[in-house]
Amino acid sequence: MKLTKLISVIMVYLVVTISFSLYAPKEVSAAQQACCQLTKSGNYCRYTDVADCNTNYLTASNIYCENVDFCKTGCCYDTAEGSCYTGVAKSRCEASKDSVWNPNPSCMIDQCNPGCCQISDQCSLSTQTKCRSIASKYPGAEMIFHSSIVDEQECIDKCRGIEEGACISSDGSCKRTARSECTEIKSTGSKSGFNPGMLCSHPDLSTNCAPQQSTACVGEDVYWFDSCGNKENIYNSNKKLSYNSGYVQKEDQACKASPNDPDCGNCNYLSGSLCGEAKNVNPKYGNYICKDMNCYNVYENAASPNSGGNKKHGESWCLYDAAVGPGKDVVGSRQRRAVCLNGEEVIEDCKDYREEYCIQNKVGDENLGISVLDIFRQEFTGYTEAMCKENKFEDCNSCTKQECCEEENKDCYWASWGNTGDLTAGGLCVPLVPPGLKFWDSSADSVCNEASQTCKVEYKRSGWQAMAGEWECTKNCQCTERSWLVNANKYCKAMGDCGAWYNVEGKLTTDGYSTPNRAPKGGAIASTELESWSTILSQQTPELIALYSHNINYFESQVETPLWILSGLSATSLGFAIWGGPVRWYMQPAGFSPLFWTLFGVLLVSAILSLEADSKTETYTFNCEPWKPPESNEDCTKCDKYGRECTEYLCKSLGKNCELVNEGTTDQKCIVKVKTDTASPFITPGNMSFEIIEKENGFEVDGLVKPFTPVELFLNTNEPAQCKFSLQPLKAFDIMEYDFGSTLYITEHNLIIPIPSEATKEEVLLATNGGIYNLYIKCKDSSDNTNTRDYSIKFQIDSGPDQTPPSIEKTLPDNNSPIPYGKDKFDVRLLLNEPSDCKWSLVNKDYTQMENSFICLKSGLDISTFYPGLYDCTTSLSNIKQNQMNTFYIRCADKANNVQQQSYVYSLVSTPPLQITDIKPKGKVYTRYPVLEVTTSQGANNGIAVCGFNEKEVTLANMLQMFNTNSTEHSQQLQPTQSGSYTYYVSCVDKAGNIVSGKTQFDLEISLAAPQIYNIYKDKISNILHISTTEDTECQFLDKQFTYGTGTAMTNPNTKDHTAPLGFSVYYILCQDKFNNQQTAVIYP
Amino acid sequence: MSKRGQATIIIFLAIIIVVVIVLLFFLVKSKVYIGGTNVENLRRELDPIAKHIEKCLYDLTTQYAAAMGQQGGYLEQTENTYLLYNSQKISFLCFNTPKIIGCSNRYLRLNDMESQLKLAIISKLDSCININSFKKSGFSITPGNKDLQIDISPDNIITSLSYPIKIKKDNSEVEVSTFSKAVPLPLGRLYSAAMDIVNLESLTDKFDTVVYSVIKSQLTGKPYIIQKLQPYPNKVYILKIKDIPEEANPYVFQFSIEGEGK
Repeated sequence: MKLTKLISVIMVYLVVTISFSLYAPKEVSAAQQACCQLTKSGNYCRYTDVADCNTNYLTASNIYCENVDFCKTGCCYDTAEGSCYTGVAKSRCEASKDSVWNPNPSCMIDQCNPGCCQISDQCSLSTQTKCRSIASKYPGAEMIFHSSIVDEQECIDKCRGIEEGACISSDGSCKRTARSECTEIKSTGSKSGFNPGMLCSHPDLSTNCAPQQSTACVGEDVYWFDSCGNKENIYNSNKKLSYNSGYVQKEDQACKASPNDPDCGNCNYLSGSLCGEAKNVNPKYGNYICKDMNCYNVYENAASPNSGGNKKHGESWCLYDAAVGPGKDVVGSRQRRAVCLNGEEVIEDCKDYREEYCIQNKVGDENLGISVLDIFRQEFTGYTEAMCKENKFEDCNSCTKQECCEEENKDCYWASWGNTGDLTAGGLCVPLVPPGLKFWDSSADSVCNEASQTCKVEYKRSGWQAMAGEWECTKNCQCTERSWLVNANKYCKAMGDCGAWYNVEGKLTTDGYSTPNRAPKGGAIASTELESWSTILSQQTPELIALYSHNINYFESQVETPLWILSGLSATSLGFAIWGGPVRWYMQPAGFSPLFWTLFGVLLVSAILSLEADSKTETYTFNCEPWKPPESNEDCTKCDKYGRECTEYLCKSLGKNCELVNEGTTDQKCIVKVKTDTASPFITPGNMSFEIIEKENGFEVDGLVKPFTPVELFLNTNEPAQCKFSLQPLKAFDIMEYDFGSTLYITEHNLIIPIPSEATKEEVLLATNGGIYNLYIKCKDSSDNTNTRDYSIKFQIDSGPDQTPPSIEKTLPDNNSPIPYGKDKFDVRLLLNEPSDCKWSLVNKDYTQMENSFICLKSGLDISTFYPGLYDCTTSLSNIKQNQMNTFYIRCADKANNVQQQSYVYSLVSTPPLQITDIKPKGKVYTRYPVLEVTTSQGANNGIAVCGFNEKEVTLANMLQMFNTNSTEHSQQLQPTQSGSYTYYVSCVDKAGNIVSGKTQFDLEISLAAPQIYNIYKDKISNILHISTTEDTECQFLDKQFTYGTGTAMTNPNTKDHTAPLGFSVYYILCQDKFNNQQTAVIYP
Repeated sequence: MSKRGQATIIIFLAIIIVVVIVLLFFLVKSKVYIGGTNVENLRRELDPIAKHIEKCLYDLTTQYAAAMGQQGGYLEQTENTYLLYNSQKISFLCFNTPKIIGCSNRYLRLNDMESQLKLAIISKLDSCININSFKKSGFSITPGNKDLQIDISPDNIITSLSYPIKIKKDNSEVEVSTFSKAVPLPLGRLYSAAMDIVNLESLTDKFDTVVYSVIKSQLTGKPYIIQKLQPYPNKVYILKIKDIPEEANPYVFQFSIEGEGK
């Protein structure tokens, strides 16, 4: 008894102890988390390990930060900048200078109310404080805050409506500004001051600004700019229309551009055009056009009906890996949204594990009444919009009625094909898009198990059937059929990654369910009982077609086919057949009378009927389990196929032993990790730039390694592995000191070992047995198998005296480069393979006799920033003779005093000066649009140069580049507004940097007045039309409207009288004077 | 001398004084002490120094602004404050709030970025600026203390370095005190868009890149490209202005939003 008591006490003790010990770790684990007001790393309000909390600040154990007063999130207002930030933790905000926290989470407070901030002619939406803050950076600029305007577009339009004009200073310079910006006083009789609605190039203003000199982007449109850099009107290749007689033209009065329009710069962003530099289109003037923002030939795949083809700017569409919909999404799949944005196709992944799914619709057809499934499969014509939507599938299981299932706040689907046993509900509520599950861990078990099914099938048999040994199914007979099994699987996989189904690479596995008790005959679900991969891949499964096309349930029609009734009928028929057929045949030969047989039959039937009826129940069970990845590992490497992002979910779906490594790095990849693999990585030498001698488990560098020459070692492993090395043998992998190049799991390993000069020092050589180095390497694969034996690499430093002179690897500028005329000195830079001293001379002589030195970096650590591994020396080479090749002899000596025995011959070619041989126009000029023409010669490239021009004598950098240049002939059309004397300054530069300047002066006579046609008569005798003009002109005519140059010439060009033969009913006449001014007339003779 | 003559002399002297004051006023920025030798020559000596300093400002600003954009507004990142994505440490600008919709805004301000840039650039200026290489015999160059100002505007980063440098030869002395450089990078513009995204994410967990990009592009005439990536369970936003002219490596500002996984 005592023993029993003792055992009981021990048992109770153990139970209590174990219970506490089981509970205790959880408690410890929970206590480790806390909301830290400030972490040790300086971050506010992080829910993290309590050990990370800064002990000088507050800590709230086991409470999420959102529930702690000092970390509540709200609005943080920056009083200095005037900016508002939502969702900021209180402590974070209050820790910052000039910041005020407010509990209103969305910043609906007075300080954060936006308004329209107008600073001069610029408008943007901001808070009043921010507006003041910005305005303070522009002293003198007028600031107005329109608190009533809270719409950004309205705000911007406010500035667009500001009156602009030409602001002329007292010195005659002009700037296009808003009226408020122009501080010049308008005085009577003077043009200085603000001239509303006028362009600076307006002829009446007599400024030096020539109109329409260049084009550039302003906002979304292309604008003309005058020679003073002032914006003019929207670009139109018809300059006259765009010039608008020198007045500001409103946008709605300008031309309308289509994408890539070479003639018009009035872009329309919403229609897919935006100002940009022209690439494949040549605008008539300038370099800017309304660029096409649409996308062409976008990515296409069969499962995504709206993929491929051309897309409009802003259009978005869904990309699917394969079929989408209830029970169809394949394991590892992810939905994506593609967007055409500013001419680029941008692809965005929806959240992994199908926590988001992609839906799309045609704009304007938001309420088509199409079923939710249509959105996945329907091809829309027109502009589509797509979005990644949160997959709200969690509540589907709780719905037992269709109405509940189809509520708007759920992403569920009422499936009639579930096997509910009695089918009284008429269907089951399943996720519209099955969520992805972590099918490889236990968290998926409970989700899949929701779809497990048990079906009790009832049978009975009467006396007859008992005699035949047969049972008649009376209830839930459908559960004995294959279709029950197949439908149970459909329901199962509709819950998530459960049951028998495909992965994203089309591999089918059928281990995701079990039938422990009894199952319909025929074994496991065969691939022929499921949709084929090709139909899944193209979203062309019969079920989906039926669903989409007829809105009827394909499965339902199949499932409800009363097969059990048919089979019952068949059995009955067979019973009759047996009775009327073989039995009679069998009994007939015995020779009894018919009466006997009749009596015998009656008695037999009575006896059978008197047998007691029997019944039984059989339980069919379908256990829905997480999907199982394929045994094969061949697809692991396909994880990043098509450029898709390889994630843990996708990787694990590709094979049982696929595992993601190097997560977060550019080497993130899916590799095979065989748990039963006990083999460590197999190391082999990679391709090296020197000879090696392979040993049993390693290699030896053949020959001696020069100091200052980095040794680059390459190793390969037969599987992705991490490698480390040590200078001592037999160290365990984990305590090896150095990484072999990288810490990642890779197959190609690369290590660069710099060999410092110190390696040749006597004491080092002694310590290393004459400069012999052994590296002992071990690698570890992703299954944690490490090499037990060291892989060794042996190399020896050249311990003898360094006898190799340095080598000049590069020069700046390159050897034989042209240099500008007139330079008697020129800065050059040498890059050497080791730290050295260098000298130069004009004649080839010994290093010691060379007169001039380079400035060289002294230390082996001073490696060039831009040319890693090389060492800098600089100098200024002098005594450069003009207009010829100059040769310099350079020699260098390294730190071991190894001197180059041959000079490095370095040449610089001094080029002849660049010359301007001609500048036009000169003297008297009678044209409306004179052309500045420059011819260059000589220089570095026979006169090829780039030229600029200006009306003032400025440096080349401040000149406008000529329209046609980078040649020997350069031209620029000028657009002076009035007659007078003009001086233009020109500068040109060639490849060597030769700069040449010049100027031209000309007296321009222009007339803006068009010639007048004042005398018109017809000579009926000669059948000739006569006209007279007020000045010398050339005239042309036609019987319809035409542009000058395309008409028929009238007689006597450059005179005042012109004739044309009569014959037309109407004459359109165009006369042009020497200033290109034109006059038109329409004559009905 | 008559009173009228005295008055004339006084007026004449007054005019000279005014002219001298005006001249001095205009020479405040580049003080010129007119001595015995050619001041213009001294000024010319300053030009390459100024260019050298401005190049340093440009190179360092470009380098650190690029890193700042790649790393989500922070040059130095501490543990658990960034997402390692494509081997890049991308800062979380909004931290996960467990079981609650939205996230906790990290409160990255424009002046925080300016301060970081200032610290980073000024720490490298000494090694970049090499005044000694401009020294010549007969000239003495005396640099003063450096003070750097960074201003991030929508499309430019403006660096202004206050760094008085005097060049002296014989009795002539020239001084230049400020150097400034505008680096055309849209850090400010992209930061502003990033804050719009973070503000909305902090409240709703949602942000539609297309609608925002299209509207913003239309309003500003700048072609915004905003891409949302979702390395589970986090989000990464990559923002850029499509370059005009297009460049191979446009300036990018990318940041991450911390998410909550299964």
